[in-house]
Amino acid sequence: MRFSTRTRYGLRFLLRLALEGQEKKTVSLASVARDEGISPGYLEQIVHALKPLGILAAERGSGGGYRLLVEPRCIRLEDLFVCLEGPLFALDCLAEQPCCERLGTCGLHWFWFSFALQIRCYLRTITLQTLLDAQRHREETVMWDYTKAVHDHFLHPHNAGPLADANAVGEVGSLACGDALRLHLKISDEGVIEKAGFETFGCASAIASSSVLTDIIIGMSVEDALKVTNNDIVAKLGGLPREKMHCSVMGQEALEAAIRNWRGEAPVPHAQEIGRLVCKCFGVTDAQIIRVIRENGLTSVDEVTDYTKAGGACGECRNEIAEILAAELKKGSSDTGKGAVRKHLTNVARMQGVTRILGESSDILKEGEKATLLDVDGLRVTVHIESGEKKERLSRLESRIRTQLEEDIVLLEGE
Amino acid sequence: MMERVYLDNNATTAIAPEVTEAMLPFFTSSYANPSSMYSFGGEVQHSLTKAREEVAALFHAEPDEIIFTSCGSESDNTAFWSAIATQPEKRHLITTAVEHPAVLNVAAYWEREGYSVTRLPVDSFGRIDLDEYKRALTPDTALVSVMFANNETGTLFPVEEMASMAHEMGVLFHTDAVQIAGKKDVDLSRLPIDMLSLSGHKLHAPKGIGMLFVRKNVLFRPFMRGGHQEKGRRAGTENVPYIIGLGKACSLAMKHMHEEEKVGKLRDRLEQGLLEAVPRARVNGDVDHRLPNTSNISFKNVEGEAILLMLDRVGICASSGSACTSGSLEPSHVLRAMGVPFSYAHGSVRFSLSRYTTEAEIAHVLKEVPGIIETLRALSPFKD
Repeated sequence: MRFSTRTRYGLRFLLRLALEGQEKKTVSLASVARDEGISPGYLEQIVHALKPLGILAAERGSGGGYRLLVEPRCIRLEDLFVCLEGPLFALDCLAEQPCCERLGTCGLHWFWFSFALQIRCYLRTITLQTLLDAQRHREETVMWDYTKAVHDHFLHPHNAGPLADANAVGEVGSLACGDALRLHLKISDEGVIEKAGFETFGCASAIASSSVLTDIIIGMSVEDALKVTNNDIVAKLGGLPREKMHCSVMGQEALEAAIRNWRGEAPVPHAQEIGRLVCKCFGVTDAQIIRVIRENGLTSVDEVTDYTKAGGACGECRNEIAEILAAELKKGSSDTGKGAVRKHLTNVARMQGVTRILGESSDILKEGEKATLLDVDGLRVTVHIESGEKKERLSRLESRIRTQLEEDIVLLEGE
Repeated sequence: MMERVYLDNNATTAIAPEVTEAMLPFFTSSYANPSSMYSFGGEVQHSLTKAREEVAALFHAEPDEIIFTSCGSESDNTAFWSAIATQPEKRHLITTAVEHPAVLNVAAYWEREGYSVTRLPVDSFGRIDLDEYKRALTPDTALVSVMFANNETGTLFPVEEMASMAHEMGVLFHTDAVQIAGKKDVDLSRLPIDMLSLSGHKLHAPKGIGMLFVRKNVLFRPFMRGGHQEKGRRAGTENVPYIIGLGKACSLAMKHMHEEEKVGKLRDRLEQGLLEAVPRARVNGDVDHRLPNTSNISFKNVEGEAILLMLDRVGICASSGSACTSGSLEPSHVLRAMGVPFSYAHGSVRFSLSRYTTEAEIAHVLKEVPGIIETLRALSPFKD
């Protein structure tokens, strides 16, 4: 079974129209012919053959060309095949009016029938949209979970390599940890970072984080550079997978270490120097943990591991991390009145939290309206709302309580 | 550029075209339940019997000793379950520190249930100390489970000797033979192994089919209860197309077993070529006792994930034991158990070949890898 070039080229042409001919833009036949390496005359014949399907619109004049008249999801491959290739199964016994004399006795009819049926069924499930999705997926799939920016910075890092005239060097990580970064800076007498270079041992995200860090800080004053956080690195990379966040933290720490080195201070990250060692496997201190919790609004031990690696090996320090986290969250909520979302509250804390939020929600409850807490039964919290629009108020209050207090709470209306 | 060079056959293998072909009728016309009374079912039953014989033949076993399962992990779980359920008085298990998670985590589960577990350590070549093993064996040991060949390094364990030693103490012996199946002859008519696990997708059958061999005189308790399938040893309507596929894959493996020598030569060429072209590289594992298809090479001072991504760009599929690719933050438990230094452990790459691997593919890898390592080393702060 051989399919002709008519069908193969025809599909390529239509896929190009679907890819490029969005928003009524036309695609010129000549450009497709050139890009796909097909003779323009032959492609014209194919386009002509497709006309009866009524899926193409032609526009003449300069800037003219073809576009799809029909949504790609409505263009079935079966129709395209029949149009370009002719009847798929030119067997006498499968015609609409079978004319094979062996029909009643033939032991093979069932086979031809089921063969044809399966091919047709398959072609029916595929539309031009299917091909389009697959093509887009192929184009968009960069390696693994990484964004295009990570991908580009990994393959073509900026400012890679040491600086011969560096006057500040910051180093974090180690071979044992699995990633390490040595950042070289040339800082002017006025305190401006003139040049930066890096050497990184680690995965793609570690290399990309280093590369993007140098882009961010070149031209910055030392004071401004000290305000750069791991979030700036992540943002510039268009995001990192959760478990790779520590690569961005490494960049921030190396920058600090380099600046400390320039100022003649001990060249270790600030937080590492002053803190108490919590994770012995990866050498992470409580000060480092507290800092990522605050700067990134972390709320779980797993997140702390993602950002610092602490607790990611033997796991012995996970309880200690949980204690640090709990203390920070408590502090956070008493500092601002609105702590980050916690996952498991005690009943008393839940009751107090809901009461506080109800008291602070005068923007949701209009004048004369009131919400009173009636009961807390685990995550089922019942309130009484005095308002003409109970339902609307209830749902807005529930979503506020979920974002501010606990994500699984169910708010019920009671009398 | 080559479209794709697939050198990750210890992770999974391509389905042999003959296997797909053998399976297809069981998705379309031969869909009957093999337990049914009519001849339509009987025909399917007949095909199942043939597949069971094909699988048994690869291992020189009896068809009755073959239990089809859903995967290698199910086979491993079943072996532990059965050994424990048939010998409730015994409370000790022995395995190694370098097993696949399908065994390690099952052992850890039973440990939490109150069993004591000995995890035999390995030396820097990945070898087990048999004296230490002997000391660990006690009459209280319910099961020894030791892999036939390690999936990361290809290192072969002396399972014949270890099984005999277990039997002297009256202890059951199970082996996870997922990696060796089809690569070297495993003769169960001679080897004193009580239970053996197999996974289809490591020998050119599809994913979703496995097998547990249970020797005839060994007491057995099912892990999955229900219908009478597999003579009451594994309930659930037979996964007919996949069993047929596994049977075909096993008979193909027998037919092609002699080609493993060729695979070994290609592997050696790859390994020697890389060691010559790339300074500060080392081979992990026991090079004298190893699967012919596996090469685990460490490149000092570079990180495995970065290597894999660069290999991917030039169409080469391999895997790594580095922290970033092991799903944890530490390098592979196998390399750590072998005491591979961190400077090398993070930069390990496993190339695993198959009978479909060609000389041109190996040449492509030899052409690409040195440049990739050089690029990454130029970026690395560690130079020596």
